[in-house]
Amino acid sequence: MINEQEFYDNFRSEFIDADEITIDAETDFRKLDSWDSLTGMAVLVMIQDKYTDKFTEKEFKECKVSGDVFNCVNNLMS
Amino acid sequence: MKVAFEKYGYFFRTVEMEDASKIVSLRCNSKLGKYLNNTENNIEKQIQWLEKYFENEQNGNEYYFAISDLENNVLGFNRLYNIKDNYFELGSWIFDIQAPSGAAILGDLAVRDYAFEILKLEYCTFEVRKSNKSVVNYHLKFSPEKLSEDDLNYYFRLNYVSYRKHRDVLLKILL
Repeated sequence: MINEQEFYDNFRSEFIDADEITIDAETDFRKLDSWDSLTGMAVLVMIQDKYTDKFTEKEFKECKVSGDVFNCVNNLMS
Repeated sequence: MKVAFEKYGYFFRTVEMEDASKIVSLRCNSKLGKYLNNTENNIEKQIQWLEKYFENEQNGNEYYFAISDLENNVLGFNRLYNIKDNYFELGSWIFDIQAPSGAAILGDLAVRDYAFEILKLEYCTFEVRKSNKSVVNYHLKFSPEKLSEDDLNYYFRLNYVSYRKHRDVLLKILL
C-alpha cells in the first residue's frame, strides 16, 4: 500500500502552479487551468520513477480524478 | 534536401509551400503561439519566409518538419535550424489542440532523433520562454545544460546521451 497523501503531493508537484493548487482523491485534474498534455506526461514519468513502470498512458486516460490514478497505481503495486 | 520518414506512428516530411496556411493558422492561435516569435496573420508573408527557408533546406542547414497522422492530416510542426559543425538548434514546435495525446511529444522526439541519429549531430541548443513553464519543465527532464538566461528566455544545450536517456523513458510510456 503506497502512502496516499504522499502520492497526491507528488502528483501536485508536477503542475507548474503546484504551490497554488490542491490535489486530493476527488480532484478532476484535467479541469485545472494549468493542465496540459506535457503536465500529463510529467505525471506519468513521476509515477514510473517513484512507483511503477506498469502504469500505462491508456490506463491514465481512463482515470477521471486523482483518486482513480492512485487506485490504479496502488493495485498495480499490490 | 527534402526528407520524409515514418516514425512512432506518425509521418514526418519537410514542409511544402502548401503548408503555409496551416503554419499561419497554428502560430496565430492565441493559445498555441503565445510563446513563439510573433507571426503575422498573412499567408503571403509566410510564403516569402518559406522561400528563404527552402534555400536553407537545400543547403542542409535547416529542416522544417510537418508532422501528420497516417491519414495525412497535418497535426503540427517542428524545426531544426542553424545546423553547423556538430550541433543544431530546435524550435517552432507547435501542435494542433486537436492532435492526439502524445503526438506533440513524439513529434519532438522523432525530429530530434533525426538530428542526432541520422545527421549525427552531437548537441542540441534551444531557448525556452521562462513564462512557458510547462515546456521549461518538459525540457528540464532531459537534464540539459543551462548556458545562460535573460529576462525572457532560458538558453539550453543538450547532448545526445542525456537526450536518449530521457527519450527512452518517454517512449516506454507512449508506445
